[in-house]
Amino acid sequence: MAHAAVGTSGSFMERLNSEWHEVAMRTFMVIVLGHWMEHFLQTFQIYVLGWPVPQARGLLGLAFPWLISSELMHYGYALVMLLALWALRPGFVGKEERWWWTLALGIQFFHHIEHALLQIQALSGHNLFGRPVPTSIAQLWVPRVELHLFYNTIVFVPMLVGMYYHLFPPDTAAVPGRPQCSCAWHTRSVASPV
Amino acid sequence: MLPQGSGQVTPRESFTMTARNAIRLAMTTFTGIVLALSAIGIRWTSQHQPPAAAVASATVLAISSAFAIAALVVIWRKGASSQ
Repeated sequence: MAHAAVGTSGSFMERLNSEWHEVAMRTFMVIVLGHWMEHFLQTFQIYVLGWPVPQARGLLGLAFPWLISSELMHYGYALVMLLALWALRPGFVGKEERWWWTLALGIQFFHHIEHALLQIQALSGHNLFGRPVPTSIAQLWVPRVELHLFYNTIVFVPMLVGMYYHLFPPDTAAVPGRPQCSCAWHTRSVASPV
Repeated sequence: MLPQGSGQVTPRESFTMTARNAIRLAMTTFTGIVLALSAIGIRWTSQHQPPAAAVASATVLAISSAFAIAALVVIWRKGASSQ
């Protein structure tokens, strides 16, 4: 795969955002989409199949119920999302793709704070607002299932648009010297036309 | 007499399955699922949650839907990519 941004030398971050960017992005998407499938399945179980909320645990949660109740697991995923959004951001060099990816990063930062609050409560054993279970700020108003669907959507949608512009950069011709990531479709279509 | 050119119709652009359109369709499928679940969710929460919680749920699900629609508009609009 041709990659003009940085060669095979450079720091880990430089290589992550050049020659490894495509593989890293694909790996990240497998994780994110796997997580999405769990949320899709959970909401389907509740809204369509009519399962009681505590029993609607997606797919993995049916086999491993602790997954759905583990604040550490939820916090870990939020942290992985935040770190990946931050670490892969320099590879988004175009104006539009960078803007949308940064929007996702900003929203995920707040989402991560919410999960950090839950994690602190789970670890300390003291719940905020006198609630019987760990409670985030938005959870004061919004039930947890809908809140998760909301956060995941408003983080993933800007990622989706950012990735679209990253795959099909609109200003490539306008900026001839711009580094071309191997994620961009035209860099591979020369060798293997679709 | 009709003004010159008034009867002319611009031919519609044909849809070809380019890589860009394939990616657009995949993204559209995903956002379609989000929109469908949000719509079903708004109905379900109005019937199964206390009024205040149902309003809050409907609000966040509506915002989620707005994000999904915005994404569709951006990726499908003309000139969203030069390729």
